[in-house]
Amino acid sequence: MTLRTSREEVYPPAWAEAVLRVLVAPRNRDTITGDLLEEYREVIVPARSRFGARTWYVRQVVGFVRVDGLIRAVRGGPREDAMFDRLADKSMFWLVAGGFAFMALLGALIRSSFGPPAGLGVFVVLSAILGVSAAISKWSRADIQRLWRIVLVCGILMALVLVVRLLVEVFDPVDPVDRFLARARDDYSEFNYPRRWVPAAAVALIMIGGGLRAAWRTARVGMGTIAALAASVVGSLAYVTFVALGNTLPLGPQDPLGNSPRDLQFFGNIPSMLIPVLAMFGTVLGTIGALFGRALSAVKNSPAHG
Amino acid sequence: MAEVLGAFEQAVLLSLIRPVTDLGKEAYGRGILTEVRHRLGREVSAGAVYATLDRLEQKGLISSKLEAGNAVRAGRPRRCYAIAAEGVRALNDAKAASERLYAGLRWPLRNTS
Repeated sequence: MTLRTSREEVYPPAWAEAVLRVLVAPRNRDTITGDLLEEYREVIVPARSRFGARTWYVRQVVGFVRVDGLIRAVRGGPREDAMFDRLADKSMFWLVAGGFAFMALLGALIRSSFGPPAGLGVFVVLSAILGVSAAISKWSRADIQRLWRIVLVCGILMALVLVVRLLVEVFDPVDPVDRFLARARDDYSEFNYPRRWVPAAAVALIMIGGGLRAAWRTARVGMGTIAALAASVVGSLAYVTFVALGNTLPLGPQDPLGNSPRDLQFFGNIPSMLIPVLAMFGTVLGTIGALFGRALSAVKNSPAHG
Repeated sequence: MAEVLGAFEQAVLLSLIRPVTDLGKEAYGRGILTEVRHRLGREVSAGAVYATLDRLEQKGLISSKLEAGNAVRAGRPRRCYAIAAEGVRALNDAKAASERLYAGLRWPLRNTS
């Protein structure tokens, strides 16, 4: 037996509607929620899956979160040229958000002496939230056309950095015992070993730059996140492919750390775990770059882009 | 001279003065949103349109009145908007300002540097 639900019985998520009622002025609560309910029932639900329709509604609610009003209230009264004030406010908001995120990351790196940040679990959760929210944001063919070149360039640059680092390790290896003893010292800092932190910094800058460029071009933070995430996957995949192909060359077995036991391949094991790890950091760093890119685009674009 | 209108404010006002979509002719929030999307040729956030309508109403460029809702809206009322004489004047001013800005230029523009 099929149970049919009439149009008038379909409702959007109650929590999202409650949030919307809080976000809008009291005089518009019924009219705006009514408008959205009408669109939801007449257009969205018939055309999309249940999940897709609910996601659409949540996205509409997010669109009602206005930051410019808050900032203007903090900064003082009305100005002569309202349009350019709005642009400046939005630009300042994104700049402050990007600066805050960047400083938080830098603080975490300094606390861990430029090693892996202490709260790795936080990074996993943060990157998952950022990645999913960017992935379910609005996409268009034009966005993909704008992004693919940025993804390709950043991915190739990332792979090049990783390949150069690997080649240095292979052809000028560091004694693993020396490295182990150095790390055991109290005053150990990655910052004292440029061979380690320079490639890491270069990859981080590429991720931030990719996010910045993509958000600048599309005027959307989510697109910056997606571009950096995709570039990280492309770069790490290219690097893993390089390692796998290198291992097939008849160069004889060699351990990257200097030993040469027969069971090791030329470039060592294939670093497949690098793909999710870089994707995770790419998502977070790309979003930081995207906040700066969004600030730049706010200066360039009309208020409607906000 | 009235306050300078932003491009988005102009799009909202124009959608009230000469709507081209069926829904836009009904001149309530959802219809205006559809009309603005059609006019600008891109996706527009509902929040941005409602915020602009509020702002324009506060400036006295448009007026609104409530109409009864139907079953699809769960009986919630519709707020219908109409452009005020001040809104028409603001649009005329915006058009004149834009024409002054571009006056004397030959089209299409070329990079002379």
